[in-house]
Amino acid sequence: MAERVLDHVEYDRFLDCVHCGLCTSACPTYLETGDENNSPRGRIYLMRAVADGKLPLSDTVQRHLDLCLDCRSCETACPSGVQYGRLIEPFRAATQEQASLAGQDVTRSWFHRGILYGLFPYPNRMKWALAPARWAQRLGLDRLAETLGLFSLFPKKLRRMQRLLPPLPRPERALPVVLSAQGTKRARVGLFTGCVAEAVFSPTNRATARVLQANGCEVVVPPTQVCCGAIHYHSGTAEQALKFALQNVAAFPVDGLDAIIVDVAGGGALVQEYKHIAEELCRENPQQQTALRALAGKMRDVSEFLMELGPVQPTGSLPLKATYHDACHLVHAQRIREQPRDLLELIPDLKLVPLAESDICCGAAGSYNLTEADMADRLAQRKLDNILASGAQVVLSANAGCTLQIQAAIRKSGKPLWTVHPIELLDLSYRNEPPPEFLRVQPTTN
Amino acid sequence: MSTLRTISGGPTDGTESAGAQMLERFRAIVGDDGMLSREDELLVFECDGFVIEKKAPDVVLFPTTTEQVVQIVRICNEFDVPFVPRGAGTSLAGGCLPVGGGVMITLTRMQRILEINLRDRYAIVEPGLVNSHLTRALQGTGYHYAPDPSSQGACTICGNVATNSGGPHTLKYGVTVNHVTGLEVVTPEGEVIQLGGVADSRPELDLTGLFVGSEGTFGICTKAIVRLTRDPAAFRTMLGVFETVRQATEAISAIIAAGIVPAALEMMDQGIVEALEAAFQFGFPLDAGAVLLIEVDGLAVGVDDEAKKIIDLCRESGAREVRSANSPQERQKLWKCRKQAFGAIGRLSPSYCTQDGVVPRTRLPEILDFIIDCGHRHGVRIVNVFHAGDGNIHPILLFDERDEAQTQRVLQASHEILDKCIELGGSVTGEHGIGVEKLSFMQKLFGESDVAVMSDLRAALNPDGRCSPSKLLPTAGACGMEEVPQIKPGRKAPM
Amino acid sequence: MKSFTSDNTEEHVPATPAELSRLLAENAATDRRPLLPAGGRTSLQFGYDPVSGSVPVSTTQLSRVVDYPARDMTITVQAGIRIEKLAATLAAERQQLAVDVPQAHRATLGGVAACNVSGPRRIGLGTMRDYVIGISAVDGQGRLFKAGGRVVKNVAGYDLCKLLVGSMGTLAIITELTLKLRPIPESSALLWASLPDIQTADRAIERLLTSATRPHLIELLKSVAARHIDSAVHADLSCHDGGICIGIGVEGGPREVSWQLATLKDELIEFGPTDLVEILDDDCQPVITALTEFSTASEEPLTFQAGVRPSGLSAFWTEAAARGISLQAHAANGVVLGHFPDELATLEHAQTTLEDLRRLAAKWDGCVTVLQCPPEWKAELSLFGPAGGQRQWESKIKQSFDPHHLLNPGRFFVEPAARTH
Ligand code: SF4
Ligand code: SF4
Repeated sequence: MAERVLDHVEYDRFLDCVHCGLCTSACPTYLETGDENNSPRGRIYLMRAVADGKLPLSDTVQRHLDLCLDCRSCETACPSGVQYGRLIEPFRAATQEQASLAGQDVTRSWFHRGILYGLFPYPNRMKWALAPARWAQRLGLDRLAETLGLFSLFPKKLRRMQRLLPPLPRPERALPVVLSAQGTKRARVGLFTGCVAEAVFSPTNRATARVLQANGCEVVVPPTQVCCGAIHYHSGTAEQALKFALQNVAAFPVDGLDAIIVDVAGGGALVQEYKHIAEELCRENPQQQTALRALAGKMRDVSEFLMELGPVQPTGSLPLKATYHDACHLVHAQRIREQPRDLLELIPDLKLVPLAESDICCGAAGSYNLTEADMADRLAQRKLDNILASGAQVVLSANAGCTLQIQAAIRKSGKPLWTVHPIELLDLSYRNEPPPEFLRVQPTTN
Repeated sequence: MSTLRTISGGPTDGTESAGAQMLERFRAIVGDDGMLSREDELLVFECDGFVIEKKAPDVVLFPTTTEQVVQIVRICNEFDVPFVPRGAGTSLAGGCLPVGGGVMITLTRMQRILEINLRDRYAIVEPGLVNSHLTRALQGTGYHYAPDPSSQGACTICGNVATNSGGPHTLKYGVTVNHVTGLEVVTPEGEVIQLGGVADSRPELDLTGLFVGSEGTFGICTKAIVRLTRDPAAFRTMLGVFETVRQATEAISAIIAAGIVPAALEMMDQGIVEALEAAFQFGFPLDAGAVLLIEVDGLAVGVDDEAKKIIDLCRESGAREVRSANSPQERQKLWKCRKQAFGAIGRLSPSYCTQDGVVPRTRLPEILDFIIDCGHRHGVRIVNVFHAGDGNIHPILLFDERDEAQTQRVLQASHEILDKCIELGGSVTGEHGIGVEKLSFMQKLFGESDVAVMSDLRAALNPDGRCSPSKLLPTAGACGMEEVPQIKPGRKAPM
Repeated sequence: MKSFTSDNTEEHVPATPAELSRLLAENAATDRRPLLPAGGRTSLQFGYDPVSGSVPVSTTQLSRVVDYPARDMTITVQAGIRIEKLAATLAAERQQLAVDVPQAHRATLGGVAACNVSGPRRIGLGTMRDYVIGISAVDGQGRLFKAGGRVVKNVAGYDLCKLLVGSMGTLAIITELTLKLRPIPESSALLWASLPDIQTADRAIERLLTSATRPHLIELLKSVAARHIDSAVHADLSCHDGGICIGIGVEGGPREVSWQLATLKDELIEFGPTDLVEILDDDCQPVITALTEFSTASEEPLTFQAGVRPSGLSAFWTEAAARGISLQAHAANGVVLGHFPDELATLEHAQTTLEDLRRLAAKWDGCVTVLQCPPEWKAELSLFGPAGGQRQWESKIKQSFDPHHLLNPGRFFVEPAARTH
């Protein structure tokens, strides 16, 4: 095992860690367990011990590594610039390789095969799979079904997914391929419509498009784009991630765009990481490498892009008390912390209150809330407690996964709170509209 | 004294059953979830922020209540095994090292804030609470918890209590001991005692003051009553830029001598500035010999006058320019740079080691000259970032641990610097503690009778030496450890 | 040098720490006579009576300034130096030991440290504990030892400074101290006013805790006490009978002080203050001195000091005032000083009153200490109240420093066994 790890991980990266421990309390799993084995410093120590051959890769060690959310909070906290992600991901790749060499099926569970890889990456399939849920919700039958325990007849993990689902919008027609700028054209941008997000959050993508238009951007939405590959990359199935990445390279006319806008934080961060994928997975193919890098170089989070562009002042008043949750992949992977807040501050009458541990993972973390249900629940609860303590009515979350997770926690608590993408709030303000019906009506409590 | 080695598969001389029995007793107290005893889970507890000496404990326990700590300690006594408390494990002196193995009592699951009382200006907290979490909880109340060690985002209150932690703002506001008024302690024998309390003027010995800084050798703190400090109404944060380190240290002396008590007064030399720029791109001048980060706080009507005096004094000492932080964000960023300076060193060199000497503030120019000279003599690059206002220096010696000879020279240079601190009337540790790292300096700093009095005191309160053995004082208790010759300095975690 | 044990000197006045060390070592090895560490003798009436045959050991010859690096804002001095002398030395450099000490012309630094004396400005300035950074002392066995050092930040070894400050000479005799100093402020001011009653005063204090200003002194006086201070400084701080006097002190640069004074007046308005008096700069010190001396005014039968949570102050005050006790409080700290009136001048009265007050103080996590009372009461009266939670450790520590119980045996809280309370 030690050699296999050394094949994948650059050993010097271990040495960057000076064992100061400053990252520990930035780590959600350490905050919850208090166990150093579940801290970044501990995990680095464990991985290095395996690499050094000091420890075998036992199930226990594997457990502690699996519990990692890949949230990168440790990278933000680490003053020594340790790139934790570049340790754990290659390490995971090594363990997957080892497992498949040992004849184990890494995508062994029906859940991985059927749901995770089969469903998530494809917006259309996702839509269909969710259709019954959507109808049930619309008719209020989901609550009834939940009360009657009907969902318990589904396999456990699928039940979890059901619980995570937000009130679903009616499936909308795909966005037109080109949307024109309002007023003077200031930029031409591509819009990345992620998979989970497009199915569940198509209103967000539409809001993003409108806000960009309002800011003088011509928006291009290539229909041939696909899932970014985040789930695959973070679950250690690199090949699949690469496949999707290359498909996206083909979809976007990179040269003709000032930026490619992403409103789904997880995907956005990954696209940044296309650079890393390029390095790690296309060592032999310089052409692919260059193309991937170019794509990655154009990727911008919507708030980052707008703040760079200089946002047009929105005018619609939204007298709401709101709090902003930092999605890991925005704040830790892309260091985007101030921009969304700055944008929100522009909305007349919106009161932004601080959220304790705003940048501690809510437990969503890609597919984590499906694979590590226990810890995911604990972190969701922690997030909820902090949200409630903030006294806000609206939780702003810029990441689809976070939104699902937070909404689920809120629904379970029965508290009258709403979760919405910051861009949707901005969109309302640009359009001078009051909060939509669902923001004004108290959600059903159960 | 038997060590617990017998627990986790040691010799099979019949003691194994005692070990197993003990583990079962622990399990009954903290449950499966509160206990680690597999070798592959104990490994990460073999050291803290000090990585030269290592020893894994035989079992790690995560109690959640004082009562559980009591039971654990009693069992340790019954089975005659050593035990050591641990918080976040950020000690830079090996304060959490389980010398001789035994039981590690990790307090990270006791992290509640039990009470915040603004009227009486105190908070009661559990030991595992992270320092900055208390300040976070106080946000908006107009109060804060003053001690702010650079590791405040990770370190725990019990660790702060054990080492009497400082931080940049302790220049004006004092260190941990000035902000703790009472403690609940589980004694080495497993009794709970209350030291001090909420109210002032108690007719009793200041045992709270004695306990703070005792590095775990008097027992385990399970609750702390801490004083809350009012937020200052206004700040002025300045950055003085100097051509040379000497000018900067002279400015420090001048400021202190003028009777100004800045909230903080920190120095960073060129090497540090370079590393910080690489990490944070603050816009520090790269060609300056040294910069001073100076903060004054107080009333809005007063801070400008003070700031002006400081600016004048800096100029008189030859400052090239004095910049002011113009916004709270800029101030925050400056402080972030300062607090993460150590970490940023990782970007300058593969390994580094830092010292924690103190000199009288009037001797700062001398010690800095000595450090520079020492670096030259030994061919070692040394950079400096430190709490200048307190005279608490943190020279950072850069090296590559793969280079044997260089490593030895670094060790030599470190020792010379600390010896010089003693010679100048200072100390070998201002805030990191003696731990195991500086045991050998205790006899240089203190005379025979000083050490004897301290040892007697420890023997009185920790009679069998089971609690945190071999810390703070060179004469070990019953659980002596083999003298580990220091062969490496180092802040790169070796395995 | 005379041998300590071979003659029957009534008092020992060692000239050097080494001599003191020898004395104590010899005493511990041979006669084991009980010793009475003494500095300025301002606190000798405090605590239970010395056991008979106790020999005073005076530190007054140990009064040298060892090192005063003024630019470093620290000083190392021997313990027998008089506070007044020390203050003069420091004032020459515009520096001070920021602790209020009664009878400064007599009190010695060592005594002040051993008794952890503090006064009205403790809220802003702290107590001795905050200023002692290095200490040397001789323990009951004659061991001359030191702890701390001469630098303002130091965590090497146990902090015996904290242990010895306030240990009442029961563990060791302090020979030398290194102190952290503060600059003498450019300007200072006191604002006096009377308020109708303690409840109003309490609300005013609560307001002051969130004041835009940062007072370093918040003092309450019952009218009787105010008159006492009044006459001491010949100022007109007159207070209506039944009313309560509040004093608030600020210091700093001249602009800070005048701004704070104005702000304080604004903040106090809603509490209906009357008889507002402002005292500025040089006129402040006599008032602070008078406030400090209040604890030692000794005509009254019994003087006590209580410490309660600040929020319990008004309840405690009300009860004490109802008993006719003359009161002063360092209000922000919850410290109350009281003199019993003549009506309580019998042991029996004193005892029940003290019990009442202790019960009340306990409700607010506090305690009541008798500072002085007629010597003949001491056999019956509990001076320190019930033992706190740390007594067990105190005994062990005493044993470690003074195994033969030679230093102030039976006089203080450290050795409750000596008395039957
Ligand atoms: S990862 Fe960074 S913060 Fe964490 S222990 Fe290592 S060096 Fe310190
Ligand atoms: S990525 Fe997140 S969960 Fe994983 S070690 Fe870092 S902080 Fe912890």
